Amino acid sequence: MKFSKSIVAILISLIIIIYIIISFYLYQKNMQKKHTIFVATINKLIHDNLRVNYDILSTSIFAYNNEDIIAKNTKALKQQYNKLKNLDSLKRKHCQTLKISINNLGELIDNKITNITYFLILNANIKNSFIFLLNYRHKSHDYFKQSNNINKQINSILNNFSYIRKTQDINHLDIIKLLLSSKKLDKKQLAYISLFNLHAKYIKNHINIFFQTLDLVTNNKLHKYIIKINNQFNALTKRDDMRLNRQTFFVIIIIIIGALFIIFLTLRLNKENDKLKKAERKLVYQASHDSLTKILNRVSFENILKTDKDFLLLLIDINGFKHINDFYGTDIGNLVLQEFALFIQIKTLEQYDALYYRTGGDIFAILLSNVTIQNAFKIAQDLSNIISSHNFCINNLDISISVKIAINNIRPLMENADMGLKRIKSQNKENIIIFNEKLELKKEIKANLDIVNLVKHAIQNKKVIAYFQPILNIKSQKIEKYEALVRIIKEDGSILPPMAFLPTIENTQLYYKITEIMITKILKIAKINKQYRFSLNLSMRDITNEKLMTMLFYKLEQHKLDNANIDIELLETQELYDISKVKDFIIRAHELDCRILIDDFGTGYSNFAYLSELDVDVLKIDASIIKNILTNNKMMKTLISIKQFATALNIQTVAEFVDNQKVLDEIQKIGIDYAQGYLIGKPTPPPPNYLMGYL
Amino acid sequence: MKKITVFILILNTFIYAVMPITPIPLHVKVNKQKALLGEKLFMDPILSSDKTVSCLSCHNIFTAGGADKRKFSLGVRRQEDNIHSPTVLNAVYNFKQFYNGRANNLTEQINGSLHNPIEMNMTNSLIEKRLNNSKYYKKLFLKVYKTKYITYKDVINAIVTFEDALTTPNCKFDRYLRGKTKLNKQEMSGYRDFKELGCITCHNGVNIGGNMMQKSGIFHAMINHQKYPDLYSITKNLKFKNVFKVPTLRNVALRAPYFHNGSAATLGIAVKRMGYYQLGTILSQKQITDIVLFLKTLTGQTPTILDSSK
Repeated sequence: MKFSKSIVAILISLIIIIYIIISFYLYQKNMQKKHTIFVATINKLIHDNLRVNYDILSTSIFAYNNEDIIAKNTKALKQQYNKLKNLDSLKRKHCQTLKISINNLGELIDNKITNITYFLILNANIKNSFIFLLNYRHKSHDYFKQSNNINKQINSILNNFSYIRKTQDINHLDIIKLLLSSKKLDKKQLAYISLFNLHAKYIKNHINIFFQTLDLVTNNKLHKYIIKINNQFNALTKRDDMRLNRQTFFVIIIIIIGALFIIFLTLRLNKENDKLKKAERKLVYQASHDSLTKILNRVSFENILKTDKDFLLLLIDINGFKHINDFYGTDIGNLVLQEFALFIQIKTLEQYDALYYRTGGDIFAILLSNVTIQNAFKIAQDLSNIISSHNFCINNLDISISVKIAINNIRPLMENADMGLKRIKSQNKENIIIFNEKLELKKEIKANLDIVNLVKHAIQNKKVIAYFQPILNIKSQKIEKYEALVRIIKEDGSILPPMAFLPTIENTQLYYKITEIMITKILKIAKINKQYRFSLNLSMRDITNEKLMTMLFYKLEQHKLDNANIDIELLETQELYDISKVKDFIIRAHELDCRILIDDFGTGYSNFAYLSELDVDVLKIDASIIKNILTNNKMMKTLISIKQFATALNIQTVAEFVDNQKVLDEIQKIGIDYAQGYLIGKPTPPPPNYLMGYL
Repeated sequence: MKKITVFILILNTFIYAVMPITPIPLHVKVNKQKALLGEKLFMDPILSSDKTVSCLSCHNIFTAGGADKRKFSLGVRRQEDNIHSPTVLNAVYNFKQFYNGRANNLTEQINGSLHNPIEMNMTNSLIEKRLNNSKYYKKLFLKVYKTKYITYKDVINAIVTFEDALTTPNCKFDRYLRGKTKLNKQEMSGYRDFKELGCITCHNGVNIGGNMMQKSGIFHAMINHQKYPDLYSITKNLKFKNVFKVPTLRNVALRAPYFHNGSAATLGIAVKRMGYYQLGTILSQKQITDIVLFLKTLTGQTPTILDSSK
C-alpha cells in the first residue's frame, strides 16, 4: 500500500509541476505577445504618420500629384490608430494614463486630418495660381510694349513671390510689391492687370495660412506624442518585467521544491523496494533452507535434481535418533541435529562441490559432483568413523551418534538411496551401502512375492499354526504362562519363524488374516487351559489399525465370559506412534483383564521414559542383556537397574533367553519374577488335545 | 533639414512626378452571388417606405451614367431632394461619399440614403420585416448568406458588394494611359489644357476626382449653396465654408445636368464655369471644346456585373 502511495505522490507532484510550468509559459508568452503587438502597432503608426508627412510634402512640390495616395495613407493612419486604441494590452487596470494619452493622440490625429483637408484645398489653389502667373506673364507682350513698366513690375512681383516661398518670410508681405498697378490703361490692359492681380491677391492672402497649415500638418508634435506613448508603455512593460521576474523566481522555487520532493519520494520508494527485496530473499531462503539446521531443505534437493548434472548422493541416517529425542527431549534433539548438520560439512568434501541437505527428520543428504564411487565409499567411511568417534557435547551432555550411509549415483537418486538405506537398516550389519542395480532388488521383490504366496497358501491350507513357549515363575518354580508365537508350515514340512514372513506381509491384508487366525487359535487354547495365562504379540503399529483392534476386542470380550487369561505383549516399532492411542488401548485391555507386557525391553527402541506414562504390567527383558550377564558386568548392572526401576513402578519382569541354570540362578538372585528360554522350554505346537502341561 | 530641402525644391520648379491619373483596374474581385443579390435589391422599390423608389430611381446605371437626368431626384411621396444625384459608378474609388463627404464608405452612404426621410425613408426593422416576408428574398438570402433570417446588415452588405462591382474600366483615356491607343489632336490638347489650367490639381487619381475636398467658388462666389449642407455645417470649422468633395469626372459626359444643383445643362457650360469660379480664368471656346472632347474619353465600359446579369 505504501508503495503505491509513493508512486501516486510522485505522479501528482509531476503533474502539478508540469501544469505550473506550462501555465507559466503560456502566461508569459501571452504577455510577450501583447507587448510585441503593441510595439509593432506603435511602430506602424509612427511609420504611417511619417508617410503621410512625406505625401504632403510631395504634393506641395509636384505640380501634378495623385491625391489618391494621400487619401489612402491618411485613412491608413486613422485605421492604425483605431487598431492601437482597441489593443488587448490596454484593457488592464494600470493602463489608465496610457489610455488617456492614446485618447489625446486620437484628437491630435483628427486635427491633423482636418488640417490635411484644409491644406489640400489651399495647396491646389496656390499651386494653380503660381502656374497661372508663370504662364500669364508671357502673355503681357500681347497687351504691353516691351519697354513698358508693367513687364518690370511683373518680373519684380514674381521674384518677390519666389523670395517669400523661399524664405517663408511673411513679414514683408505688406511692404513688398505683389500687385500690378498702372495708370493710363486701355480696357484690354485693365483686364490683363485685373486677372493677374486676381491670382496674385489669392497667393498674397493665402500664403500665410498655407505655410501655417503646412507646418501644422508636418510638424513633429504628433510624432513626439507617439514616441511619448511608446515610452509610457515601455515603463509599464518594465513593471510587467519586474513582476514577471518575481513570478519566475517563485515558479523556479516551486519547481525546485517539487523536484526535491520527488527525489525524496523516489529514495523512499527505493528503500521500500530494498526492504521488499530483502523480505523476498528471506522468503526464498526460508523456502529453500531448513529452518532448524540452516542447510538446504528437501525442496532445494528436489529442485537441484531437476538439472541434468551428474550427482552422487550420500544419504545419511542417524541411528536411533528417535531415542535421543525421547531420552533428552526434542530441544536437545534439535540441538543435536544442528550440531550434526555443521559437523558433516567437512573440508575434504569441498573439492567435490558438496551440497548439504536435510531431507527428513534425521535424514541428511550430501550431493557430490565429480567423484568416483570408490572415493565416495571412502568418504562415507571416513564420515561414519569421525561421527562415531565424536562426542556431540550439548548442554554438558555427551551424546554419541552413529550413522548409516547409502551411496548412490543412479537416478532416481533419492528413492534408490532410500532403498539402500532400508536394506542396511533391516540387516543391521553394515553401516555403509553402495546402491547398484545388482542389489538384487528384483530378486528381493521375487522373494517377497514368494513369501506372500507362501503365506496365502498357508492360510488357505490352514498351515498357520501357533507355537507356545512356557514361562516359569521363578519363585514358585511353576509354569504359569505361555507366549504364543506364529509359525507357518511349508509344503516340505519345515517350519518358518515369524521374522521370515511377517515383515514382508506387514502392510498387506494377509497380516490381518494371520493375526486373526492367531487370536482365534490362542483363545481356543486359553479357553481350555484356565490355569495358565497366554500372551499374544502385537506391535505398537497394530494398535493404530482400527479393523484389527475391533476384531481383537470383540474376541476378547467373548472370551472374558469364560476365562480372563490373555496377556498382550507390545513390541515397539521404529515408527512413531500416538502415545495417547496406546494409553487408550491399555485402559481397554485392562478392563478386559488383560495384562500388558513390553517385549524386548532394553534394546532397540524401548526406553524408560514412556514406561512412566504407560500403565504397563510386565517388562520382558531382551535376550541381548540376558545372554551376556554372565560375561559382561555392565549388562548385569543394566539388568539390576531395570529390575530396580520395574520394582519401583510395581512392574513385574520376565527374563528372556534363559538357556542355562547359571543364568536362572543369577536372575533369581536379582529377583526377576519370570524366566523364559530353552532351559524352561522351547516353543512347541500345542498338544493334540489342547491341554497344556499334560504332555 | 527635410523641410528645408523640400522647400528649395518647391521654389525652383514643379516637377511632373507620379502619374496624376491612373486607369481603373480591368477586373474587380467581388463575390458574384452577393453582388447579383445586391443588384436585385438595388432595383427593388421594396426598400422605400411607399415602395415608389429604388436605388436605381436616382442612380440610373443604365442610361444616366449612374446619376439622374433630373436636376433633383424625387424620393418617397414624390418629395424633391436638395441635391443633384451623384453617380454610383466607380463610387467605390471615392475617398468619402456624399457631396460633403459625411460618409466614410458605401455602407454608411447606403445607410444614410435608406433612412433619409425625403429619399427612401426606411427603418432597419421595416426593411427586415419586408424582406423576411418575401419568399423570394428568403430563398435568395438562404442560398447566398446561409441564413434563415434576413438581417439589415446582410442587406447592406449585398448592395455594397453590388456597388463595388460597378466600375467602368477601359475608357479611351485609360487605354491611352496603358499605351493601347492614342488620343486625337483635340483630345490631347484638351488633356494638356486640363493639366496646365490646373483642373488636375483637384481632379486626379483613379477616379479623376473623389479623393479630396475643395472650396466651391475660389475666385468668385458661387450661388445656391444654402440648400445643401457643406463641410462647415458638419464640422463647424469655419475654414470649410462652401467646401465639398471634388466629384469624379469618369463618365461625366453621360451625366448631364451638372453640379450639385444641376444648373449646368451641358458639359461645355460646366467646364466654362469651373474655369471662371475655380481657376480664376476665362476659357477660350477652343479650350472649352478641347477639354470637353478630352472629358468624353473618360466614358468607360458598362460594368461586367451588369453584362453578366442579362
